[in-house]
Amino acid sequence: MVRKSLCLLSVILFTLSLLWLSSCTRRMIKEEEERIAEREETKGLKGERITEEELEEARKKIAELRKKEDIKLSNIYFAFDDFSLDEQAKKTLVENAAWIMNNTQKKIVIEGHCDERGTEEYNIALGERRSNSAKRYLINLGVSATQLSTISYGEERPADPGHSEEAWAKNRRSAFLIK
Amino acid sequence: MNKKVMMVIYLFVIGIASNLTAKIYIYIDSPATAKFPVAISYFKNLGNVPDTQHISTSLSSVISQDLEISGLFRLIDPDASLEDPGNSALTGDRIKWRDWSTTGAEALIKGGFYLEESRIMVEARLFDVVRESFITGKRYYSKPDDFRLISHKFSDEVMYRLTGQKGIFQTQIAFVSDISGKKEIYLMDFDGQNRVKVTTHRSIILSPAWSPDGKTLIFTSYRDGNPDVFTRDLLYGQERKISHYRGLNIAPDWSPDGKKIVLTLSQDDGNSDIYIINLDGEKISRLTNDWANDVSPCWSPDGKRIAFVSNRSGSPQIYTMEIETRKVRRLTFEGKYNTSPAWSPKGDKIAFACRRGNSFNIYTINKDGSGLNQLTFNSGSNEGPTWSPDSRHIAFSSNRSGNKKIYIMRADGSGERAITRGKGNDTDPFWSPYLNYR
Repeated sequence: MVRKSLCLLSVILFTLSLLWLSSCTRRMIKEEEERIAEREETKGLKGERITEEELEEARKKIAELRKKEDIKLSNIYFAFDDFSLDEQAKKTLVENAAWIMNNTQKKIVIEGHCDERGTEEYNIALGERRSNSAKRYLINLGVSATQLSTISYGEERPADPGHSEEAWAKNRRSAFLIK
Repeated sequence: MNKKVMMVIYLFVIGIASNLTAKIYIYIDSPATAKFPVAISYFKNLGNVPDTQHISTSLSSVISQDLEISGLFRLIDPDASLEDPGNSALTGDRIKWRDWSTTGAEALIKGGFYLEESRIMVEARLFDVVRESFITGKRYYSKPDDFRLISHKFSDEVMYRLTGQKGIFQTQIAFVSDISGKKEIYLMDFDGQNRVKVTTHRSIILSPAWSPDGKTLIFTSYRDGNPDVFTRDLLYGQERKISHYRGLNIAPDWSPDGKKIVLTLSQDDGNSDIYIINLDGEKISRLTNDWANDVSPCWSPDGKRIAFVSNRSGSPQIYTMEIETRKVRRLTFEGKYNTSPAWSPKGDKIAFACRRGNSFNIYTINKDGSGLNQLTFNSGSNEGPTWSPDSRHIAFSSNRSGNKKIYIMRADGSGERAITRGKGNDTDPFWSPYLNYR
């Protein structure tokens, strides 16, 4: 009898500990998800920063480009829900910087745009970050801040009205407009 | 718009409710109440002017649809009654109760109307078929075009008499439509009828929100080349630009006392944070101060908290903040993209949109983060939830049939129906409070 109830007790305890463990695991999984997410964002933030070597190289390139006739302002593009600058975007910004420095009397509006997949209000905030990423990078390259302003349109003014991956990629952009 | 609002309906209570302690027929909050069977008889033309606009059937069908949408009633086909429609009685002493009790109806709505050149009179009565007694009656005078509003008024009266709670049938929904080629604000009745264009900014307008007294809208407009916040008086049409800081001025929502606005600004460091301003646009306090995007704030009905969206954890999620202590709590953990929080007027739940793959669905969650509940399934992208003032319904936009259109459903996800149709995209619905001036 005693043995039987001991057995029962141990079964109960074992089940309880399992329950406790599983609830613990669930909590740990949630925390982990959050931590990973945080790391991802930190990576994103780095995109705006610029190292000394990068800067020196970019300035040389700008000096070269400024002597050319055919430089122009071009759009830069972003990944989904991201405002960090990839290598291509940085390369374009170097050329844009050369153009703006050659045209010091011109004022430039940097527009931030998103694809249609996000939420309107969140996308306006994201677009603002995109235009600011570009603005900060240009200032780092030596462009005068007084020539630059930003505006975000979120998903309101797509470059391509389509609903495909291709259209979305074209819409996640910063455009440079002469005021 | 103005004409509609200024319209005066004279109304008289026909007789005095016989019993002072009103009987409750339907307990709204009990979990599994059977639907209450009610019959609505066709409205009788009591005058000599022929009913060329089919007002008789319109009055009863608007009331039927209202009661149907509430989800509390089972509507009995009036043709199932043995009563002769050509010779039907409108008063309790002459109704043959057996004709109606055999249909299973426990309540009966009867009414009549007469038309004059520019005037309509409608009277409507609600009877208890089981007790063979009169519950309430109303008489309305107005312009003939107002028969829908008259029907909604009587539906509210029926709702109040049978449940003891206020109905939502006279409420409206503000929303944004691009039908004119530009995004402008429109208003419509909660059932999608009586659509009226409100703004003419010929730019981009977003996120309308109704003031707690129902008299003013607040919204974001790009009219002057920057996303700024405007208010518009709905009675007189006056507009004021109240927030135009450098950078973003977006996503405004009124405090429950109507004196303050919570919104997103990006002026100070180029990223979005949440602020409280007064109605002159002066900053009262800054609620968030971090590198993340903090957007879409909405006030809790007790005014002590806000819910908002932040990507501080790496992806957009819903958070709540106790305003006084600035204590922040993350509410959503499922899914990587949760946005558009809307706090229920009752205060217990928050509705939001969750993105999975390329589509959104509407969910609700309790204010403590428990009780996650998915309301829409497998039907396009469903966004921008907003609560009816009785917390029993949610409106949202969906592209399930092509263009984005406004839908309503009950707060448990049942009874979905499209309330806008046709060309253009209709988004950003915001359900009005009870409109006492209608």
